[in-house]
Amino acid sequence: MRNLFLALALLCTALSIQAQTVRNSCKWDEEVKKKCKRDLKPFHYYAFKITKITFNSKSQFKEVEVPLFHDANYRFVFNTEGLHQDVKIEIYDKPASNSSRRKVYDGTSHERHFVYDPPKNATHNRIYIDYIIPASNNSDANVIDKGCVIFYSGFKN
Amino acid sequence: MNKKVSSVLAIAVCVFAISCGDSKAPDANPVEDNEEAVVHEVEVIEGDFDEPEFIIPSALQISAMFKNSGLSYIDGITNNPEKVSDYNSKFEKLLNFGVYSGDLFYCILNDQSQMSIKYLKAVRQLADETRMSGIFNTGPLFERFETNIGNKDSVFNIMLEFQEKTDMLIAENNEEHTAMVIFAGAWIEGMYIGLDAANNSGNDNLKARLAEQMGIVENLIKGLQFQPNRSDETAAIEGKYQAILDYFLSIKGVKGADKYSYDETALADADWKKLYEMVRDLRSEITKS
Repeated sequence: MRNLFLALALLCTALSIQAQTVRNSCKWDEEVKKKCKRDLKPFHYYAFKITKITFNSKSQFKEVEVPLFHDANYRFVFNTEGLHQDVKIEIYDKPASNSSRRKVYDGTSHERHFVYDPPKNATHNRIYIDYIIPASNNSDANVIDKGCVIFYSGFKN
Repeated sequence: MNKKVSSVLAIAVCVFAISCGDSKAPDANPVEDNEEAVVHEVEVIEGDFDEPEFIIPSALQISAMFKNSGLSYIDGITNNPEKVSDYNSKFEKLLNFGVYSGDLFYCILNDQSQMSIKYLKAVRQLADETRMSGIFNTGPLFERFETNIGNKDSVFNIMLEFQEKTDMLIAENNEEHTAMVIFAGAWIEGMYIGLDAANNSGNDNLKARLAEQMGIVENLIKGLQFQPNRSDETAAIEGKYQAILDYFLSIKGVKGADKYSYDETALADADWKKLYEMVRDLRSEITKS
């Protein structure tokens, strides 16, 4: 009898594995790399991050903190071709926990590939990139949608 | 006997269910719906845990800022490249990968060609030993470095490429936790050299840049806490970075208008000396020197 329960548990696990398919649109290939490198010029490479997103039934919020240093200018290159669904991208001078923060950029991933040069007076020693991720527009509960945003940045003294 | 029959039946049902599952899998777009196929194409490996939500700054940019603030070359201050085989655990190797990277950037920015080559060799050895040989395997980076050694701008650009390749390899393999340890090593080496110079020269510009670097430590500690296989060794090192930050933040008047703004003029000579000693001791522990 115990073995039967064990086998049934195995069956349920097998069925649940089968039930969910992951659709990952994340794109970080040679073509995207070339675009990012091209648009970073004349800035020197500074930092790189792939922010992975898993869409689910609820909207989500992700904030990425970027340290900036005195005397340098920066360039941010975003590539959102690896998103199956659009997300909002907002950039602030302070984190979401600070009520006096100021928005310095407002856009959506619909732009697919764009460059933003934070103005020197808008940034001090940090900048905060907020990704506002809507609930998944995928009605098939058996499919999990994943994607990513590529952040590529440069500096210039 | 009954038990055996029930087990066999149940296993048969499982096998049937799995094969049925296959036939029901969406087939309209087999590539898009197949995670393994997509992951292979994208070359971004999915991990079991979330990445930290902050960017690690460029250790090369930090070295360049110190140099622009008047940090000159101090012979013998860097970690001996011949000690590269003294590091045993992966954690030690990664920390010293960072330390040697910091030394490499410092030597390049100060036109120390022969020392630069020795440090690049040390970094390459540690990259090989920590499964990051891909940094050097994707192109003749080492050979280009040697060929261009007399040309500061070219070597600087090659080092930017080295940093970029390291970051990409790490991100593509979902090894962000590795980058945190490397950065922790590079940070301590940069601060050790900078604080040594600041204590001896009284360079106010350099002191301002060193204080600015303290704003990184909180995330550096978070990065160390993010390690998937934390040991007593990692916890002990992490505690020492925390002690450095705690000491700095305890200095009266050092906190500025916002979270990461600091007033370096609040530090008395004794504070700079104490900060240097704390950094020196941790650096000695990491480098075993």
